[in-house]
Amino acid sequence: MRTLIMDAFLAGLSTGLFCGMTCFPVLAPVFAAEERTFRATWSAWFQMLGGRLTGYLIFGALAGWLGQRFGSHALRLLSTAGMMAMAAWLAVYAAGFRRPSPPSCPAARRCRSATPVLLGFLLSTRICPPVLMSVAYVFTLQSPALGMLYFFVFFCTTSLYFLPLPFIGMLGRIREFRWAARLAAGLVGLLFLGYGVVMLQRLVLEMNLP
Amino acid sequence: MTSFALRPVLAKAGAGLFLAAVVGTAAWRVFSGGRPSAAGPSAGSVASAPDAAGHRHEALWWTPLPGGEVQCTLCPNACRLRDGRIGLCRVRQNIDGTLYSLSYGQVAAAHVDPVEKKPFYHVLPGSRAFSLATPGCNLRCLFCQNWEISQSHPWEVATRTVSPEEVVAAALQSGAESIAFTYSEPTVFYEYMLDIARLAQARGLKTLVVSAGFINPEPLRALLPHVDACKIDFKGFDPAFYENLTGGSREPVLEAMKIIRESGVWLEVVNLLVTGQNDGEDDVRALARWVRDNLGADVPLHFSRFHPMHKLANLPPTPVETVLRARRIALEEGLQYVYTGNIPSAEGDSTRSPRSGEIVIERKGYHVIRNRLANGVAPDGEPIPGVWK
Repeated sequence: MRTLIMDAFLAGLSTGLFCGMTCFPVLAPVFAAEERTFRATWSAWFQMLGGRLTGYLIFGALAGWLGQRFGSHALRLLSTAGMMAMAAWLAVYAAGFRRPSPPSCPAARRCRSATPVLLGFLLSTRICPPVLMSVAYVFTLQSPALGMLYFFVFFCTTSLYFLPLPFIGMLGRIREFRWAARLAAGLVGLLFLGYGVVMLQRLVLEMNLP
Repeated sequence: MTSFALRPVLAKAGAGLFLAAVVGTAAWRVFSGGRPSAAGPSAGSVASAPDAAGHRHEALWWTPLPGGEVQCTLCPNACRLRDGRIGLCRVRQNIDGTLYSLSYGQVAAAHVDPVEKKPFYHVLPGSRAFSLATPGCNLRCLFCQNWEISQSHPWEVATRTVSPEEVVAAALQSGAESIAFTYSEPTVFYEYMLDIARLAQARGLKTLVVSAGFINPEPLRALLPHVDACKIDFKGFDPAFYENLTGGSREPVLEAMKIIRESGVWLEVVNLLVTGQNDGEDDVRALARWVRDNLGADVPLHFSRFHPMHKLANLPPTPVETVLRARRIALEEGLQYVYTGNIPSAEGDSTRSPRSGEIVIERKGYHVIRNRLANGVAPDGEPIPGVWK
């Protein structure tokens, strides 16, 4: 148990910077796109972490339960689908700031408030190399509970690298930054959506290889 | 007054930088495939070899480009190097518009090993191979088992300067029947390997290449006439595995294996099964099918167990059962000679005749206990392919 916790802690600590860099283009625009109070910024941060933790725990339990049966194709398919959903949401989020407001303005506002938690959740399904290594480790545990524990510790350690986000959120008080963040959200959303389509095509081709 | 006028300008500039940083990071993530850890330094790391000049040897396989640049054509990395820059392999440098090998004659490791350790199971069983390596490698495998020398510049590890003539003399003196280019990646010390191989063949020694096969077709074809056997470390059938964990790509390696097979040089293939990364049933089956359909059912395939190493030291060793399962799958797919490595397994260590199933070469680990082959023919009359004399 102690070894497991230490392994997860060290894996998170050593690879967390890469985790943060991977998530930065998705989360930074969301934090800077709106003028939030100090309290609201931290609230959004905790919501994002809550979504991320939920995703990691589900992922850890699944990986621990399914083990090797969770084939590499299934894993990549899940990851690509998660990324495309995240990209689509980000693009919709950016579009919601258009003026004049679309008729579905209350719905857009609701979507906007759910964005940090939802993106946190979807980001946890992205299989970046640190997560891939962790999944491989968890496969060998063959236990949903241990898988969840591993990912909980991994989550806690990597979260340290997400601490700058609320400070980026303070930039949202400046009109020019809000505008840039909204534009960035739209561009990043479209970029990842296109990347997702290419990844899906590649995956289908590979699955049909002899 | 001035500060008021400056504020919107600064805000706009800051916002522009923010936009560029966010979109740039996303683009980097997309276009790099998110593999910075395996990619390592980019081609063109700055040369700071204090003593490299003393050991330089003009390289083969490169073309000059305008402005003093050179293009290395040895491997698919295709490094384009400005003056003074070193390629991804860490051992080939552009010096004044000429590409030089910095590892020529720089031996970082030399041992006399059982040939089974390479592993070659169909080459001179029970013999010893004089094995050597220089620093450098054109891949960046996160699980590299020899990373201390493969991921180093020549001046970062202890080396001895040994001429090709001295290598061959030492091999003959050791009683070895072959010289094996191994441990790191012989592709990157191509010129040294070629010179040794020519001399060794003239002196009656076999030459064995233990490589990842990440080499361009032309240099490979030029090398093969001087080689008796190749062992290719095939990393995994999933192209994403190659990209994310080795810094290379799969297709050139598949092509290289076909070229070796077509040339008539003896070929054995090894697949290191890395825990949870390339050991899935689908990957193993796809590899076995590809070998059967493209190389032939009589090409030996070895599955080795991974031990935590280098940047994947956090992973556990591959479960023994996973290695045994891989062997079963490959046999199911019709391959005739499938072996296991780094695990104790009587089944996976020995060579059996495809006709009767009886053991013709019995091994325990790297040791040959009994060899019943006579001129490459099993007692039941089945010819077993390989290099037997």
